[in-house]
Amino acid sequence: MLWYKAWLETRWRFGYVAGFILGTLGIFQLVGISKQIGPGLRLESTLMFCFAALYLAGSGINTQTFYSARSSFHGSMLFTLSLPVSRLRLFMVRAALGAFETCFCVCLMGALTLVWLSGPVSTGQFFQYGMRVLVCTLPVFALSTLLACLLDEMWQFTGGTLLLLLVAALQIRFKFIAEFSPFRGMSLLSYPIAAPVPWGTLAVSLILSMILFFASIKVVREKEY
Amino acid sequence: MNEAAIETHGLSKSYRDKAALRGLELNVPRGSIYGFLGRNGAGKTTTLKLLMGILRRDAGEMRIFGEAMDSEAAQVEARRRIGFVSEDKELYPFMTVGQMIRFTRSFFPGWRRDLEEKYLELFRLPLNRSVPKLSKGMRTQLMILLAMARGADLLVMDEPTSGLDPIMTEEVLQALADLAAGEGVTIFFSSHQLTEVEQICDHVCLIDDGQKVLDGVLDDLKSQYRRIVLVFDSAAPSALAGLKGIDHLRRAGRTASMLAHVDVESVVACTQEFAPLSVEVHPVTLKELFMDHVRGG
Repeated sequence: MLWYKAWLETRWRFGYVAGFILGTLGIFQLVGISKQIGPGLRLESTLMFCFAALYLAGSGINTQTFYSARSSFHGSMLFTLSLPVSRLRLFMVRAALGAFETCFCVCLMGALTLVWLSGPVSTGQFFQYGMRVLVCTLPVFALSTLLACLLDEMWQFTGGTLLLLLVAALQIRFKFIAEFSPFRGMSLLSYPIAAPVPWGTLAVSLILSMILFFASIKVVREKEY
Repeated sequence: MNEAAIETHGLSKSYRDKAALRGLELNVPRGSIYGFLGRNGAGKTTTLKLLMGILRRDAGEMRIFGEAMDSEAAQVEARRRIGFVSEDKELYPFMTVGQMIRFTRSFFPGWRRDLEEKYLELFRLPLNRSVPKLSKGMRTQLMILLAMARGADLLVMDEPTSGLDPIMTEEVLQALADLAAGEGVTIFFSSHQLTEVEQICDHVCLIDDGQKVLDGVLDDLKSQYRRIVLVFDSAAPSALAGLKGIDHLRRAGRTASMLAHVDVESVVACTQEFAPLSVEVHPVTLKELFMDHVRGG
C-alpha cells in the first residue's frame, strides 16, 4: 500500500510533467520553430525546455509529499512515521516511484526529440541516446531528492535552482567540470546522436547520483521531525 | 508478563541549547489509562514523539512492553502494537476516508473490523469524503478510529479530543474507557483538559520543565492531598512557609492556602500557633494538584 500512497501523491504532478513535455514539443512543432532554427539549436532548446520540466518533476515528485515541513504534510508525515515501517523502506518506495516516473518522462522526452530529428536514427542510436539522457538526469533527480529531505519546501526549488546554476557556471569556468558535466552528457550539440558514448560523463553522473542518494538515506534515517 | 507498558529512565532530549526533557522517569502500568499532563512546552509532545521513534533521545532508557527501544528494528516492532494520534490530526490530503482506512489496515494484521465498523457508525464518517473536506473534528475522529481499530495494545495520544464538540468528546472518552476495560489496552494520553483526565484516567503524571513533578494513582493522590485554608485577622504570616508537611503555600492578604500531603491533622494542629480565625480543610481536585505542582505554587 505504500506504492499506492506514493502513486496517489504523485499522479497529478506526474501527469503535469508528461503533459508539459508533450505540450512543449507539440507547440514547437505546430509553430514550425524547427524550420526557423538549425537542427542543433532546435534540439538544444527543446532539451532545455524538457530539462526544466524534468527538474520540476524531480522536485515536484519529492516536494510536498516526502518529508516537507509544510504543516499539513508535516502532520501526515507524523502519521506515516507512526506506521510499523522502517524509514529506509518509506524512503526507498517513495524514491523508486519518483525515479520510475522521472525515467518515464525522460524516455518520453528522448523519444519525441528523436522523432523530431529529420535525419534517420537507428534503433541502437535511439536506445543509446535514451540511456545517455537517463543516466545524466539521475544526478538531478538525486539532488532534488536530497533537497526534499533536507530543506523546507520553500527552499527546495530555490536551493536546487541555485545549485544547478552554480554547476552551469562552474562548467563554463573550469574545463574539467565541463568534461564530465551531466548537462553536456545529455546535449546533442556536445555529443551528436552518432558520437561515441561519453562513458566518463556517464560514470561521473552515476557516481554523483549514488553519493547524493546515499546522503539522502543518511538524512532520512537520522533526521528528527 | 507484568512488565510496564512504558518505562523510561533518565530520558533526556534537547533541541540545540534548550532542554526539553531532563531525566524523565515514567512507569505506565499495563491496562491503565494514564494521563500525561503539563503546561505548553513542558515536554509532553517530545516524550510522545520519542516513544514513537520520531525523535531520538540524547540520553536515558526507554522500554515498551519490556523491550528496549535501542534500535530502529525494535521501534518498528513496537509500532505494530501502538496506535498513535498526533497533536495536529493531519492525514493524507489526497485520500478519502475509505482509502485511509484501507491503507492503514494493510499494515496491521490484527486489524479489528468490528471496531472499524463500530466507530465508523458512531462517528458517522462518510467513506467517500476526501480528507481535506473533513472538519477538524471529523479528522480527529478518523485518526482515533485508525488508532483504535489497528488492534493495538497501547494507544499513545496527543490531545485526542481537541477539536471535538462536547458530545463527541464524551463519546470518544467513553470509547477509550471501554477499550481499556474490555480489551486491556493501555492508553497513554496527554491533555490540557483536566476534567477529561479526571473523568477517565486511573493514573496521572505531571511534568514541568522536562521533569516529572508528581505521579501516581489518581485516587491515591487525591486522597493523600488536602487543601488547608486559613483566615487571619491581619496579613497571613509568612512563617507558615516553615510548617512541615505542606507542599505549596499561597498568601493573599488575610488568607493563606496550602496543600498538605502528610498527616493533615498534625499540620492543622501546627497552624494553631499562628491563631487563625478559621481553618478549613478541603479535598483537592486534579486541577488544584496541577496548579500547585506545575505552576510552582
